[in-house]
Amino acid sequence: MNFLLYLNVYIISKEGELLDELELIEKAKMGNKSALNMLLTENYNLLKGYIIKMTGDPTLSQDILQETMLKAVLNIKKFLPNAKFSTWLITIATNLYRDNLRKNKNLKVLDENMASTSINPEEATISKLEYKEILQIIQGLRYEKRAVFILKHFYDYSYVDIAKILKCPIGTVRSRLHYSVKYIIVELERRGIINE
Amino acid sequence: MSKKEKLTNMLIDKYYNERYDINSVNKSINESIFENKMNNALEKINLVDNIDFNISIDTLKIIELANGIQIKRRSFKENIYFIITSILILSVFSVIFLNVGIKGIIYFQLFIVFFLPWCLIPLANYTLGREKNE
Repeated sequence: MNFLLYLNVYIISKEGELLDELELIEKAKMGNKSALNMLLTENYNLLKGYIIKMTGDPTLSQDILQETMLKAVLNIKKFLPNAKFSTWLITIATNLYRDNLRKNKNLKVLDENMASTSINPEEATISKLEYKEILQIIQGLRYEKRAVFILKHFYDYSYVDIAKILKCPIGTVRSRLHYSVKYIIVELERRGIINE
Repeated sequence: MSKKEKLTNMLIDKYYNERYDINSVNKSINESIFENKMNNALEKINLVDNIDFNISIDTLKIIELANGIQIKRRSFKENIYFIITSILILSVFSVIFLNVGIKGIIYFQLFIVFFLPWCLIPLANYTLGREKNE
């Protein structure tokens, strides 16, 4: 069933031709560098956004993003198209982040040089503070709960897909999401970002 | 799990378009308050979607780097195979020569000198051709 869904995923190449994601994957597996590059470029922003939200740290984000892509390129032949390529990248990134947390149980520092999309400087400063607070709240969740919340809220993955990515039962995914949403509401209220 | 907790969980499932028991969600005032709060909170959380650290990664460079790593790995594997095969062949010959004696070594050398080029030349051609294709 999933396989059929992915038949509809197309990527538009620079020449304007429609390329099936599966076709690109097959080409990449055969060693076609431009197909591989296209796959990575198309999924770059999604992966970057996910990693930034997971880590909340620019240096760590850069490291994990780079490592994820490197691992994906090295293991492209092992990729089975029963899931989207982006899902596979997210799985790799999640595993790398988990390993990193296990290795260094360091404090997460939110960086000053995060860029917001606001134009007005005053507005930008206020929203930057708000961004920081909200990022801190998300970082306050344990990594597995954070991953569930980010995947569901920002990327609209189903419980089933999240369960596959995190290799845990669907019930666990559901309860983690419930916990995360409740925690976020409480924290936003406590910090006065939303009214009680 | 309390009834209130069950209801809030259902409202969360409903918000995310996941399966929930529609009959169990009866809109009392408390539920509406929670739903409003949840909508506000999750709307605020959406601000995070605009965050962008100054990260730039050259995907082509990563592909090149991966290529380098693959070549290194392959050559390491080939070296290991070569060493293992050499040890095996030398051990087998040593055992044979110990049993057969000096005559065996001479016959074997003659055999090698005569037949080995006929095997090695086509093999080298095949390997070079394969490398060219890659």
